[in-house]
Amino acid sequence: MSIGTIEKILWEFGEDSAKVEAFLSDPDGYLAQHPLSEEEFSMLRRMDFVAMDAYGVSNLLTMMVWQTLNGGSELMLFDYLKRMNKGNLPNNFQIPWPGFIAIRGFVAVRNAWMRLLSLLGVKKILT
Amino acid sequence: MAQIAGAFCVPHIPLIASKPVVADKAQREKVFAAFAHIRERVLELGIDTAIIIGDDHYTVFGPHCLPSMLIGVGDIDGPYEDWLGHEKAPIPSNPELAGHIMQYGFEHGFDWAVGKTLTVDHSVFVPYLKIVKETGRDIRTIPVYIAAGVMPLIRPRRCVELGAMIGEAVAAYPGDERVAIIGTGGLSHWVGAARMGEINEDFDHAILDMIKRRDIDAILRFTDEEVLNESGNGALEYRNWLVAMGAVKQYDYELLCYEPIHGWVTGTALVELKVANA
Repeated sequence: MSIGTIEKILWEFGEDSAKVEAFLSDPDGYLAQHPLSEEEFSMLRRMDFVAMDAYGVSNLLTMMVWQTLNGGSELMLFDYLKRMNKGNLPNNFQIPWPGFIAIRGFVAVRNAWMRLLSLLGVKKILT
Repeated sequence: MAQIAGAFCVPHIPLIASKPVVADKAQREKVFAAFAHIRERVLELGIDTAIIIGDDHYTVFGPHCLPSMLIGVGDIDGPYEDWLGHEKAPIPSNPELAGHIMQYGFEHGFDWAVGKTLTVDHSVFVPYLKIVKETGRDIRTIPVYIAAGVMPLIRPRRCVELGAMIGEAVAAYPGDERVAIIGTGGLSHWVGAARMGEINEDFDHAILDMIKRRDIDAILRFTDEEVLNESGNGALEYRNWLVAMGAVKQYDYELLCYEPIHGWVTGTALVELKVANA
């Protein structure tokens, strides 16, 4: 029960794709194998990056993990940043507006698609 | 007798290797021109070994082992990250000089960790690529990692002391190596933080001015909290630059390039610390 254990779980996702698959197929069961407090379990189960940030978990890891858990898509960096900003995505990158709107559109459509797949029981997603 | 003949501070932004085009064209051309200038200087100075000061990003090392300072003394290769778009390959090393620096450190109060083999991440690989490999010459690399990216962090004063020790160790080496020391990393940037993409140009210019004056005491007055709040977790990498500054007692500062590059999410500077009597 520590930041270290959370960071270990996240770091291992970057090292071992089998652990990513195991987590995505049964998040509760996977996390139950680790010594986590209720609060720690919850923030990992929900991938609550804002809570992890406040808890002191490394941003280097959380940024990497969200892309890894989503198939390595570079564009999911923007979804990660949206989560870090509580649903808002600031254009800190100064991306020209047509491109930025396209990125926001990609994130929204992808998330809607994943929710649909989840409802159909085709894919488990982290909510 | 070996000597530190060159010193530089440069970025190690992974996008430089993986996807440079996401930066504004005019800005990235200035950065690449500055790298080209450094390569010319490396050849002009007759550099045969580059000591590259990097920091891990929870890539090479994990929560089970986080060295405060580490030197690679044997075979090295890189990059660790496949997404950098460069195939992992051996990096020519200088095990004799690296082993000497390691031992000199042990005998002078630096109980650092040692990589008998090491796969380097972008923090060493990008400067190696742009400054060493792209010269096309037989220049060898010695990687040094310090804890400037992952908590707990090495204290900044220790970075200056580490640099000074490396400078003394090189000077005490019986070979005739001409060594460049390269501090790497960004100025202001937020990596994976909510403010990722922001740049604090005021901070960047302030620290560059301190480097220009070799005002180490002023730099040491920064608290980690100040840097984190005002300039981002990535700015903590000024520690890498402190090692290079510590290795060179006197230098003439030349700013080759400063650009706030939002596409690369970093305040980006390339600096030469021209070594007296090199």
